[in-house]
Amino acid sequence: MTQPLVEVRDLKKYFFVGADFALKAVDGVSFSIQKGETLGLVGESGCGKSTLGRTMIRLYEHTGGEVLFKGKDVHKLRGREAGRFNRDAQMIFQDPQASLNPRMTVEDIIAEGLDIHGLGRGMRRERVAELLSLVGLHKDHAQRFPHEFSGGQRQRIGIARALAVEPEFIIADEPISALDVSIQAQVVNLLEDLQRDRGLTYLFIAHDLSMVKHISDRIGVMYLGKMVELAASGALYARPLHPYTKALLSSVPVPDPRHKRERIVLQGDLPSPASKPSGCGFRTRCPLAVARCAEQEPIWQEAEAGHWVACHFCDR
Amino acid sequence: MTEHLLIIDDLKVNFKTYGGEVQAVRGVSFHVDKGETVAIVGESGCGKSVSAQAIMGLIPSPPGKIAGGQVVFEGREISALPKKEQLAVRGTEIGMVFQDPMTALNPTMKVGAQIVEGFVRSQQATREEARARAVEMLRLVGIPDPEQRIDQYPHQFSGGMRQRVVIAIALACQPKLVIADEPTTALDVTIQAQILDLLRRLQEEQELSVVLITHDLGVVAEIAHRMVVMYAGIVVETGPVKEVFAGPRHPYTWGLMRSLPRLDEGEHQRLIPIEGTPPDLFNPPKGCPFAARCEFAMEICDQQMPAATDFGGGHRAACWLHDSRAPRLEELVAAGRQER
Repeated sequence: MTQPLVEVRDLKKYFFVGADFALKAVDGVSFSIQKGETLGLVGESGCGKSTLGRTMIRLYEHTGGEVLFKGKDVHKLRGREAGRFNRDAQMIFQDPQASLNPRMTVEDIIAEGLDIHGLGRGMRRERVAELLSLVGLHKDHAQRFPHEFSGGQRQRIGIARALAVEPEFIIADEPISALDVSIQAQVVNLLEDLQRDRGLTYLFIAHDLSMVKHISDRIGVMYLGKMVELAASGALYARPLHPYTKALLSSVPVPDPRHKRERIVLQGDLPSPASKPSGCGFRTRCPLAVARCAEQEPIWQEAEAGHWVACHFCDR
Repeated sequence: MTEHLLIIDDLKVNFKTYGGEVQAVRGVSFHVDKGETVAIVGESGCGKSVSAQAIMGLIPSPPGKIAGGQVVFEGREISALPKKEQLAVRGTEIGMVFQDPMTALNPTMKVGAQIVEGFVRSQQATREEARARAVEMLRLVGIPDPEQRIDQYPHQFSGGMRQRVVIAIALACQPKLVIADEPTTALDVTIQAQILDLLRRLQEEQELSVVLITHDLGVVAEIAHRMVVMYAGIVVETGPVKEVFAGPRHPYTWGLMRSLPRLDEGEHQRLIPIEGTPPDLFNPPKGCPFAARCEFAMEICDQQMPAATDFGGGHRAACWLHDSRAPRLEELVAAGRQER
């Protein structure tokens, strides 16, 4: 098998709160992403999915483990190599209102990366015009300010900014959650077209399971800082193994009134990541939990070919 | 014919801003019967929340102004009642569940006191009665240990639990109608499932009528009986949920349903978005507001607002395609996008 573009090994990100307390936001996650692939990451708020994305792209320093990009540990990169990584990996943020500087023109926002990396000298304006048309905006928009655009258009500007430095890997952190339903499909189609034309690799973080399933080749499910299941998106939906994945899938409202199904309604709330249960993190809400789940943490193992899960009930 | 519990007739709401007057709601009519859940669906800015606020008398004025129409509850027009009686209706006979449980609760008040605030005022209840009522309400919405919980503050509750408290507040005076404005939007999907189950159970047990405002067609399909689809301040389609989902009659409704990815989708299919963006409501179009994004738009659509066509069983849609003089839909589909 070829070397994956991104490989995450036992990555940990702890936030130290006070003198002697660590909030384990990401606690030992491992997976890899092949070139040209879209890996979806789902989970409820506070499960660590955004922290994972931000640690992978070095917005946060990691606490342990490693992130290999083309075989090199990104947290050890310095100087020229670090700059190169900052070009190769880009991020699209959730809230296009908050992630665009309101005092900068669209041209300056998009070209900021070009300026920093010393690209596009002398042809800055042409590059910006090209990027704008690529994301479905008009080149006359370049001199306007973010407030003059709708939410969907702003998200397109955010995408153009990410594409400006010709990255290979894009982390999209809830890129459509702030958009209206009729606009979401426009942006998702744009992301798919760009991937096809430019061979991009995506890490797509979202909580909308139907959209993640639509766009992803494989999907990872996170709960309380851990990955609990990872599989090809078809397999994950057809045969979820982890009880949390099953509950999550059955909770999604289906836009079809004829659709009747057994819904697994989980009891209770997500525990705080600051006070995780012992053993398996999910045991406090798990319908199957037994004594062993409190004593022993389930291991992350390949239950079926390419289908990884961490649950005592999936032991072989 | 039985009388409707709530009738909204030709409601119009404007907001004055520096940029001019925004016509947020432009003649909305619908009704709610006893014991039914009516969902109002639409995108941000379509006027669905403003319509709900108008029912509750929560439009801030200025800048907002109810420019026309009426809200009739049990045969009485609410805004024509004396102030005191308006208060007796709003908050007691009609309860409201707000979107964001983080901001809808008072952080400096114990939740028990917040739940019975309206109850105490309207019923002149004693301390003991009020306390018993608060415990009863918390138990009703499924919060464990209600005797202890009523003396806690909102920050001691999780997001889902806070939304249960907000629902308890809305139900404390035994209202006949509850208006829920995006009650699950701020919640995670497993918590959303809990709250939807709770709303459905309460609605059945208490014979409540519910107006549910949402942008999520999945939520509509799960719990609503009838739906009202809004676009740019008007109602474009309304009808029983089953019929609207099975045969949407307005191109906007149809487009919305087509643009959603489905969990049970087999082969990867490309999504079909609705191109373009909703119109500017400072200066709304003279004709159908959806015409600029509609793939079937004809010349008349830009010129004149279409009348609603009735398809029976309460299913109505406002679209020129259903006018008897319009070309048949099949011909338009065959001809592709019309020259405009």
